[in-house]
Amino acid sequence: MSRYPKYSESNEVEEAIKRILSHKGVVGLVVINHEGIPIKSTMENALSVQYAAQVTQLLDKSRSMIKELDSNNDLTFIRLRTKKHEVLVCPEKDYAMIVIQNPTES
Amino acid sequence: MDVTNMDNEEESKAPRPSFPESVRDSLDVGGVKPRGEGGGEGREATPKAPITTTIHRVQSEKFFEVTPINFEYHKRREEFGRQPQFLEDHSRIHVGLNEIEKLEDNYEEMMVVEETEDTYVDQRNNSTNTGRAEYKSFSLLHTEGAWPKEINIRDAEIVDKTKKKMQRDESFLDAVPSMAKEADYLVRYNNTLPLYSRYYRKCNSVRRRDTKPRANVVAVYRCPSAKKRPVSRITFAPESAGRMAVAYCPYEYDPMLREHSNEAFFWEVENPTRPEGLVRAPAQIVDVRYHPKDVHSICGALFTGQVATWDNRVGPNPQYMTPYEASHEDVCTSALWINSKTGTEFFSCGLDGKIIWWDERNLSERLDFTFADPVKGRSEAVHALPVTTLDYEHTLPTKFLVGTQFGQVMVFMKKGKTPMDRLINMYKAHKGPVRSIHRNPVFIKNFLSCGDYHIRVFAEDCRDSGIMWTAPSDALYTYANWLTGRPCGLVASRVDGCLEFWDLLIQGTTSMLTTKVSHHPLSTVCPSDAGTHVAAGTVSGDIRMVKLCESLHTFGKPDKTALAACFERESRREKYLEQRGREIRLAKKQKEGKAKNTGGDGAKFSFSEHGQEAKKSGKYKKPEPFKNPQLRVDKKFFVTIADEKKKQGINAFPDKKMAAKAFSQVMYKGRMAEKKKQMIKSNKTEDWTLGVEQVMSVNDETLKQANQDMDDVEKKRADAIAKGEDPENVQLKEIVEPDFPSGRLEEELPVVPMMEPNTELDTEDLEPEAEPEPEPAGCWLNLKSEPAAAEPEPEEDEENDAPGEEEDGEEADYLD
Repeated sequence: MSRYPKYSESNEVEEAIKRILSHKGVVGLVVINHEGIPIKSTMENALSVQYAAQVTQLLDKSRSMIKELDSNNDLTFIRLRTKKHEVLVCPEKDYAMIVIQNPTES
Repeated sequence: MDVTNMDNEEESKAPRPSFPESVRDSLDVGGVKPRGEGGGEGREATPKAPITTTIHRVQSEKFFEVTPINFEYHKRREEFGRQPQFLEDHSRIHVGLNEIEKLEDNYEEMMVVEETEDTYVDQRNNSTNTGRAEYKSFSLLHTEGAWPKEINIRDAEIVDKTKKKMQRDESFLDAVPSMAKEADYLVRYNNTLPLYSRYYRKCNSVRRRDTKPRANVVAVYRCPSAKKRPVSRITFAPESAGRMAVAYCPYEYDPMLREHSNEAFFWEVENPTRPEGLVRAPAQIVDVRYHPKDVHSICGALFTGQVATWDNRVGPNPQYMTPYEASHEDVCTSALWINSKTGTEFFSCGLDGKIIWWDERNLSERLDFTFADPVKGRSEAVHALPVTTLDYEHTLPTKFLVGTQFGQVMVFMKKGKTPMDRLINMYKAHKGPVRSIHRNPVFIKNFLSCGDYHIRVFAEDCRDSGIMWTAPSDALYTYANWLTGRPCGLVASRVDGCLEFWDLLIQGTTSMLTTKVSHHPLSTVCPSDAGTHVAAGTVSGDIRMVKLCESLHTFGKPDKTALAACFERESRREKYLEQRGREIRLAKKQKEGKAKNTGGDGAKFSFSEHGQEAKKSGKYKKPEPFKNPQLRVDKKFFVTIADEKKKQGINAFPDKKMAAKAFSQVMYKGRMAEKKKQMIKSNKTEDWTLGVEQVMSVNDETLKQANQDMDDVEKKRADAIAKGEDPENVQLKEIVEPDFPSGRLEEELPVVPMMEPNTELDTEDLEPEAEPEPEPAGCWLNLKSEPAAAEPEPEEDEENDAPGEEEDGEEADYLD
């Protein structure tokens, strides 16, 4: 099973993450899987675990809400505007990407 | 043609389209007239049936076949998609009833009478409320989880390895770039367009301050125990910890006392559904206080006179409690922490008149005690007054204040060794128990006390009385305190469930705001440390958190100086009064001394003095008797009216218009009688000096006379007509003045202005409005300002102007 991915693919992930981080005001980025484990994180561990846990719950809740309202609909993105920053959650099938951005800097 | 009768099934099931015999038979028997679409009418001439109460239904057989049980829908294939063909079908008979002649006799028309016998309208009063939802909130501690079972998350190496493995997963590698693309877009989007930023910040910078004070109930904390007990004390935890402690206890002896639970509750301000914690004691807890430095240690006063301390980290049971023999002999009403080196000392007061100091570490014996004896330097248990309330200000640690059951407020020195030093001053503040005493949070020299119907503000250096006090309120006060957020403001709770807010700077005469917060009497009130809220406790055991508007909890620097000036001014005024009072007393004493020395002379002197005083005080001078008797009577009349008005204002007359009318009517009659008299006895000009009453009595006579005359004339006229003469020839021997029944008054009135100018008296009579008696200003103004007072009747207006001055002069004479 030790099939190594092509270098380019792995590189592509890094590239994408780097690109987001390069933007102004981006505080951190966490990629979590559907179980809520932070797989990739640019923040310190405790905080990313926190984010992972809370966002997983929020995702489940909001997804179920959307489904309840219209079973054909699905959640595609969450933008949480808070006093301090904006949390962008981009859910995919098995993963979700959390980007924390500080918009006041922009 | 299809006729279905709902009663008989078998017929309707019959084959179609031809009519089977059975159907027709049954129809005939049933008395139904079958109607056809086309030529059906031709067959109408069926014999009349005796009973015709069958309902029949006509259907278009083309599409439907209706049976009572099933309903089939037929449509040929070739007709699909065609437009429907509607048929004209105007007249239908749904119910046919033939008249039955023999029953016609029974026909009777009913009289419909609607009648209600009740004079009141039926009313119903319902109230519903949703059930009280009790919520619990839990917080969740999330520790890292969701890892596969075999992975030990404490082992960083393994965790790292697994993560790496996950990152190499193909789906991850696919997912991340697509997610990143989306996130990237939005991040850039956010950076480009600050959608949520506030534009036009300057425009909103001028905020309007609401001038009308408001206070709304935002939360209700209901006592969780089944038996309702009055709230006896609310205290907020120090350092704005968002907690409050509430003691529930009836002040008076309650026969059900033993059935009440003995708990005091701690509430989290944010969570009104259930208390955060509780402390309990073997008896009712009257008072409960947080330690000012430590939220966890609590001291409380018990109904048995004991004092107890708790540590709310340990449990609800008291840590220490005083033994009976050392504690108060009556209800302990208050316990307060005091400043000490160890921070473990507190003191308590009770209805036995004792004030006892305690050390938390050793409650079996008291540190010190004193009695609330109103006489300086005595301090005896026999004379001690029951103490209802205690106040101690931590910034002024040497003094404390005591309020007694009989309305005295005493200022005590804490450190005094002898009883002489202890009691500094005593004020006779109230006519009942002092409910609360509090020092002003900013100007600690000033304090308020609350009891009966008053709130009083004292300054310590004014030793005789308070410097300010409120007007008596509508209801008894139960508690008052300063507003922490606005030290010039007071909040007071009343037995009618209202909270009163006072502001010494804005309004001294009335309360700023009185709002009803509960249907039950309020028992206590406590402003929160932040000053934005006020918690009011009711006798039914619930606490109402009242949110104050901004004007009730903001206190600026100018306000502070203004308040200082206010206190300063009032105490100076009070001091002057005190000084003056002292001088007067001194003078009196001296005089008395003199009187004693001089003996009999002194008595005489004092007598004469009294006489002088009497003369001075008798400002009222008896008026000179009037020469004209008419005037005297008139004055009498006006004086009575004036008295009446003084007593009742314009209410003396139930209706002003009516009153005016009545006046004018009386006057008019009087004048007419006068005229007549003048006419009759024209030679006796000097003698017709009649007061109003006399005039009226004369008038009665003349009225009778006039009526009689009129009757005579009528009779004569009737006779003349009967005889066939001209009725105009009938003349009355005497000239009859017409009298004026009230209905005709309006028409007759225009006669009035045509009076001769020399009849002064008449014009005087006519003046009910231009009342010359000096009136209390308000009353008079009231009369004038009322638009209704200016009567629309023309003669009044005219006459109002003319004789006013004259009359004034006369009246002034009369009074002086």
